[in-house]
Amino acid sequence: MQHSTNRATAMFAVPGMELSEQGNFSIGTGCYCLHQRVYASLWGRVSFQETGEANSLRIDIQPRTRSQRSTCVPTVGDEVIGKVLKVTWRAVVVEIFAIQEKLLCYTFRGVVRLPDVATTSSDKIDLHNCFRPGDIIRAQVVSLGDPQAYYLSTSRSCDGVIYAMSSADPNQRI
Amino acid sequence: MERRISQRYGPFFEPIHSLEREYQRTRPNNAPRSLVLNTGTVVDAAGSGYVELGKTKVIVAVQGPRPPIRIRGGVENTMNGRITCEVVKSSFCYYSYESTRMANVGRGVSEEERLLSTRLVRVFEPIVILDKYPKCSIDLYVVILEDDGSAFAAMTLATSLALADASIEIISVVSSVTVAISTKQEYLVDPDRTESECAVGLITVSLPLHAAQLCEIQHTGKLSIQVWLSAVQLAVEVAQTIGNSMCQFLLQEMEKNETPSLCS
Amino acid sequence: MYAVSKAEKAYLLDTIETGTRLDGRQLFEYRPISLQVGVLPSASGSSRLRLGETEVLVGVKVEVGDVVESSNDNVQLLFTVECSGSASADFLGREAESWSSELQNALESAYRAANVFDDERLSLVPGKFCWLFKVDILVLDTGGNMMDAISMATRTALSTTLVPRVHIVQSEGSFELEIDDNPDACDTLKVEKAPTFLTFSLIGNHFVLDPSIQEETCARGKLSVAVDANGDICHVYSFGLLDAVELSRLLTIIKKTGKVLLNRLDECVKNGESS
Repeated sequence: MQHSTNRATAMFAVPGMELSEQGNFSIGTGCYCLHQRVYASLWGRVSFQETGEANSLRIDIQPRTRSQRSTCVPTVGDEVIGKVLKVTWRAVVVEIFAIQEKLLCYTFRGVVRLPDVATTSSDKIDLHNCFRPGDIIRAQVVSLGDPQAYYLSTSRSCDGVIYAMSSADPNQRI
Repeated sequence: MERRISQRYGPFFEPIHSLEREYQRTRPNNAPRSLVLNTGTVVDAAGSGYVELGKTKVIVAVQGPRPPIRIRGGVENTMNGRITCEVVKSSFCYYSYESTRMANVGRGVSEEERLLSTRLVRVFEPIVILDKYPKCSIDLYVVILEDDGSAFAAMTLATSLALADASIEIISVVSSVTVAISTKQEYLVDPDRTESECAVGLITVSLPLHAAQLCEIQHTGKLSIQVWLSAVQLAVEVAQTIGNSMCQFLLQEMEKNETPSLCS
Repeated sequence: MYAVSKAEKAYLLDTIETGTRLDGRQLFEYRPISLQVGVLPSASGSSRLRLGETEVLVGVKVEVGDVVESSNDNVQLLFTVECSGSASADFLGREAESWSSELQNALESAYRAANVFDDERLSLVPGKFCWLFKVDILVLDTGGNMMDAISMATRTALSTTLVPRVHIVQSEGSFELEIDDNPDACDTLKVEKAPTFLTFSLIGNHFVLDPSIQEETCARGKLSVAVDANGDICHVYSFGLLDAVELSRLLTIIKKTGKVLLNRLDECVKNGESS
């Protein structure tokens, strides 16, 4: 099924629709390439962005959002926000409920291991002093982990507990 | 599938041969029935689709991608994304008391429902881009509200709508149609229940929008190769028109909701 | 779960592009089949078939059963498919249920469509009693392409099944069945109409017949077609995105190969040899 693409106006896409006839597009989110043609894989609005190279446009599809929550899945490098469920001496178990400030439909399990909590002197940290169950933390996904949980890290300066119950002021850093 | 059902739970008050004599098809042989499409009918689900093909009504809700409820298979399998499906035929969709009793309604999943769910998973496994959803499970919940023939085709259409509505990356929306070969060697597109039961053969074809490929072919009955090929070709043509209508519907829905998105 | 590394997969795809396969076969060639019949003395009919590395054992038990309402068949066929634990751990537990019910459904659908046991001699008391053939299939070893092995073994087991002769005595509206005690008073079944499945795997852009287990793991699609001796299609099972143009080309191959295969099977059973 072919649709003529008009680069000037916005366009909507249905999964399976062909987005380009020429070969000078690069793939962004929501589309895939098959036999030198770009097809859409999400239902939403298509946007074309100029990239640095001449004659090359990047195609992205922004999915149509019906509700306030999104159906994203954490990937490596994402910044996530989660609630602490359990603190043990070597890991903090977290329930991820938002990715990059977007609320999710479904929560995922994540774990911050002791070496990933801070960049320096991990053996001197007592996790029970840093985290408490019920705290909200911001972390970064470092790997897909095991089937039970994603592996997270709070070693960047903007990571850590951002909201805790005993004092209402958010703390930015452990 | 439909033929087999009639063999087991056949109509008790009307023998099949008399049905065939009295029945008149009111539309041309190669015309499908009226199609009603809708998305977003189930508010709680990530995505949902509702399809009416004539009197056949099917609703599909998608939950996911989410961490799987039940871990199945070996350890290697759990790092891949997977699709699960549960099909339920509502208790009021059976057309005679005997067939309701024999189908064990309310006493767990019947074998027919289990076969329908494995078939639906088989259709959509190559369609959903599961690489983007590792460790997640995409759960499809299908309810057949009324079955007047071509229930599987309606299920496939509704599932495509539901997956698009849930913003799950799929290679294409899948359109599907059933063709029945009657005892008079006619090709009847989108048969209803009476035509399906009297048919010599039934072929259901599911295909993505770039119709050079087929997702799935389901076949019942004995057919020679020429008849099979012609039926499949006819089904492919009709499925393409249904696919185009589905695309138009989805594009119109987008234009209707041309408001700024709620999530940034 | 049979695991194949990326290098092996790439090597397999490249060899298939050249038109041959890893074990030297052509694209539409079967592996060597060896067949034994009458291996289970307690069953009415049995066979054990080996297709390459896949091994299947089928036993048929003949019983008299009540007629299921609204069914016009002379004979009821009940298929049960199981995979032994020593063959593969994949098929134990809950996963096995959906796999075996799919295969059972495929066999039932194919045999019903082909109307195999159409024979008038097989009907006992129409509306009351009929023959019930219980076909128990046990997969002993999985080496790829179980569907074909199962269907071939089922057909040969049924063709050597001995059905005892039954005298029907009608007295005062009720029927009594007297089964002949003489072990030689038996009939064999005619299974010329029984279909057999031909399974193709789609690897890269080519279809290959009778995939081995490595080929099945690397395949991105699968097509199983049940054909009978006339080349009529009785059942189709497909998975994955299949090219429509290739399908029509495949069908001529299916018809030809199906006939050849069925003839060979019947010959072997008659001559009592293995091929």
